[in-house]
Amino acid sequence: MTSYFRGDNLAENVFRANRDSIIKWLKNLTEDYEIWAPARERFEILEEPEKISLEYENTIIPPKEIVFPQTEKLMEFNISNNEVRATLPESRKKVIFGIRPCDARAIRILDIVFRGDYEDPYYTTRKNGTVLVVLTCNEYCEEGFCNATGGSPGDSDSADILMTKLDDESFQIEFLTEKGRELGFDDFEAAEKVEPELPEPEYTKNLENADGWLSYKFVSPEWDKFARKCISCGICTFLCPTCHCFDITDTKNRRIRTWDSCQFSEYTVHTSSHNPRPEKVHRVRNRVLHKFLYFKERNNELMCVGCGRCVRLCPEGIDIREIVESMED
Amino acid sequence: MNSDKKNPYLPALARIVKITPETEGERAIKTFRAEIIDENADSFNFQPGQTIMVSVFGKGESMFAISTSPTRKNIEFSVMRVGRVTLKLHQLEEGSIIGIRGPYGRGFPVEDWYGKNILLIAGGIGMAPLRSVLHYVIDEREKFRDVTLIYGARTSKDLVYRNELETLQSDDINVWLSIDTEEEGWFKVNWDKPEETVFPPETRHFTGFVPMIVLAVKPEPENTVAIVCGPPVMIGFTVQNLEKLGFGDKQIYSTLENKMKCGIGKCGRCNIGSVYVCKDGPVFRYDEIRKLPSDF
Repeated sequence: MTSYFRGDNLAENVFRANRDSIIKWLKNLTEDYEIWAPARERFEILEEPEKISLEYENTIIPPKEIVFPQTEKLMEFNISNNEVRATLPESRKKVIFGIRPCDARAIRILDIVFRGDYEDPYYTTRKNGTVLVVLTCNEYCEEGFCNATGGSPGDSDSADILMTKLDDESFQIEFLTEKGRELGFDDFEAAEKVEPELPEPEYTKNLENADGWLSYKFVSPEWDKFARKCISCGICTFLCPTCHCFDITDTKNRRIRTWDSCQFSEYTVHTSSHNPRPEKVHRVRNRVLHKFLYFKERNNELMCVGCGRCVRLCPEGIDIREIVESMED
Repeated sequence: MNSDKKNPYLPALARIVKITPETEGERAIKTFRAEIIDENADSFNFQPGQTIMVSVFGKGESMFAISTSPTRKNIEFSVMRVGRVTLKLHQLEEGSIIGIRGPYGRGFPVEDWYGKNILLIAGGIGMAPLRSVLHYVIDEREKFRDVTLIYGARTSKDLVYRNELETLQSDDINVWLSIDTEEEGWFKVNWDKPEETVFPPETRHFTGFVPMIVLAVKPEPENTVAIVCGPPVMIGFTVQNLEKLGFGDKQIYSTLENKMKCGIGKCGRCNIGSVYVCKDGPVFRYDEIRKLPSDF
C-alpha cells in the first residue's frame, strides 16, 4: 500500500493543514480505503473529495449504519439440500471521515455490545480496521448535550485522528492512535499543538450520575407525564447512534437482521400474547433507564452520548433530558 | 454447512429423531428429540435449565428450555403449538432437519444441591424446564435426599410427560399430580383450608390448584430447595404458600422467560432492568427475582 507518512517519528503527531491539502489527502486515501463522509442526511461513500464538507451540522441518520446497517443478511439456506451458509460482509478498510465526537463515542459503545462474550462477526468484520477521523464541533448543535453525558465538542477519546478547524484557513490534525498514524500524509506541516477554543454549552446540567437518582425511580408518576405525548413512532431509537436492538426474521431462503425498536409493543410481546411492556409508559421508561441506568450498571458507561437527535427529531417534542432531570429529587 | 464455528448466530444442523405427542387440542404439546448431525459443530454440553434456539429454516427461530438432563446424552425440548415457528415444528416428522444453537443462559446449580431434599413444583408447560432437573436427580439419585414433585395442569389430558411421571414412584420420588377441574379418580383437596386436607392412603391424583396442593402436602423447608416453574400467577401464589411453610427466598428457584431473538444479550428485548434473561437467566433464585423491576 501507499505510504502517506514521512516516517516512524511518532513524536510528530500534530499537523496543520488547509482545505486543499485535506482534499489531496482524501484523494490519496481512496486508493486503499473506503471513505465514508457526511453527505446530506447520512454518511455516504465519498466519490468526489473536492466536495467534502468540513463544516456541517450533524447528519440526521448517525454513521452507526456503516458498522451496523439497518438491514443485513445473516445467512442463506437451501432447505432441500440441508445447506446453511453464513453471509459475512466483505472486509474492507474504511475511514469514517468527519464523524462528530458524539457519534465516534457511540461507536465505542456499540463495540461493547457487539464484542463481549459472544463476538458478533457481522459487526466486527465491518468495524475492524475502521479508522475514525473525528471532526471537532466549533458550535454546539441544536439540542446537543454531549457535555452533560461526559463528552465534549472536542472530545478525542474515541478518535484515531482528531481534526479541528482553527480558523478560515487552517485545520489542526492530531494523529492519536497507531491506526490513525497509518493515514499520515506528507503534505501536512508539523506544528505545535494548539488548544482550540471550544464553544460554551447552552445546557449545563450534568447527567453522568443520573443513575444515582434513577435507580429508585422505576415507579414514579413522572413517567406517565412524558409517555402520554409519545406516539410510539420509534424515531428516537432508529436515529439514536447507540441503539442496537434488532430483530431476526426468515424469508424462504435467507435469515435477515433488521433494526428494531423498544418503543413498539410488538417488540416484547410473547407468543402467548403476554406483554411485559404493553403500555407506552413502560416502553418510554425502558428506553430512558436503559440509556442512563441499566447500561451503566452492566458496563459502567452511559448509553447516551448527548447527540441530541432524539430531542431534535421527536415529532412530539419529548426531551430525554427533561425526563431524566424530572426524576431527580 | 456450518463453516464458521465462531459465528454465534449460525445454528448447527440437527435431525429430529423422535417426536412424542404429549397433549392434544388447540395448544397441543409435542416433545422433540434431536441429534446434532453438523460435522462442523462443537460438541454440545449443557446444564439442566439451559435453553436452545431452534431454527425451522425459512420460518424462524424460537427459544426453548432443554427438557432433559445432560446425563441422558440427548437433546429434548417440548413445544406448545402457539405461533408461526411452533406450528411448523408440529408439522415436521421424524427425520426432518432443523437448526440448533446454544446452549444459552444460566442453568440450575444442581451440584450445589447435593445432599439436600429437592422439591419440584410445576404448572402446565412449566414442567419442561423442571424435567431437566428431574432427570438429573433420577440419574444421580444417591446424591440427593428426599425428592418430591408436585405438578398440575388444567385437566388430566393437559399433564405433560404423564406416562413418565406416573412411574416415578419406583425411582424413589414422591409424585403428586393435580388438575384444576374435577374428574373421576382425582381426590379433591379441602378447597377452603387446603392445609387441613386428609389424604386417602396411596392417593397421588388430586383436584386443586398447585399452590393449594403445596399447602396440603406440607413439604419440610429444612435442608430443602424448591424449584418452581409455570405460569406467573401460579408461581406467585406458590411462593407465598412456600413462605407460609417456612421457606426463605434463597431456598426457592424459578425460571423467567421473555421474547428473545439473539439469545446472546445483543438484540435487547429480553431485558428486565439491567438483567438479560437470555444470558443472566433463565434460572434465578427468588431473592434475585425480588430485586428485579416489575417489568415482566
